[in-house]
Amino acid sequence: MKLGRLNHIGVATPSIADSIVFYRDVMGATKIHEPFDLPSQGVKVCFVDTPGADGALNGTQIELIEPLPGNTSIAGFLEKNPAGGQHHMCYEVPDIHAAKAEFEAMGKRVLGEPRIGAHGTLIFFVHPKDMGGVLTEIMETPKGAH
Amino acid sequence: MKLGRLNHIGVATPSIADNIKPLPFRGGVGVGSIDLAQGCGTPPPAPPLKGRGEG
Repeated sequence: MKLGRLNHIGVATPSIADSIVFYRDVMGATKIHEPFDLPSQGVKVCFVDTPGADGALNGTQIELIEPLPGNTSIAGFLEKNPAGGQHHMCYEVPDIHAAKAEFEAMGKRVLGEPRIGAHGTLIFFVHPKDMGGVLTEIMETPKGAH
Repeated sequence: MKLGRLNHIGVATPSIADNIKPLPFRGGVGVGSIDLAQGCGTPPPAPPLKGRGEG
């Protein structure tokens, strides 16, 4: 396993609308994508772009996550952290199935089978207790990206 | 203010050494690891060779 690009930081929020205002007006974000529902994950998400090393808006994204009705995981997180907060980190890999096999071979608990994530590519999560306390998302690099 | 580059994520840990501890040595060039105690890529000591008449 080779550490891949840090694609995004997941930030749970009770209100994506309020968070958009924060990132736009306080943090000065210039590119905030349109929020959309991801029913398969039970969440609404919204990506905020940050600059990369070259100054272009191709750096690590911030993924704002708001629970949809019936969601338990993000809602539970917000019960413990009512103002929201950092939820997970997501790294890219070239081959999601190979990455899953490697994590499992190392005894890491992969949470479920690979499924389509917010970028339209396959993702899976690894249990934070096996990842130094950080809920870790692994996503397959979108074709043609970077 | 304009949002700048996300420089780093701070991750608290009870032991930095545990987070960068070496992988098991598997032999071969480039397969070793950073071992804080022994230095870069130092393999573990080889098992003792059995001499004639032993084993």
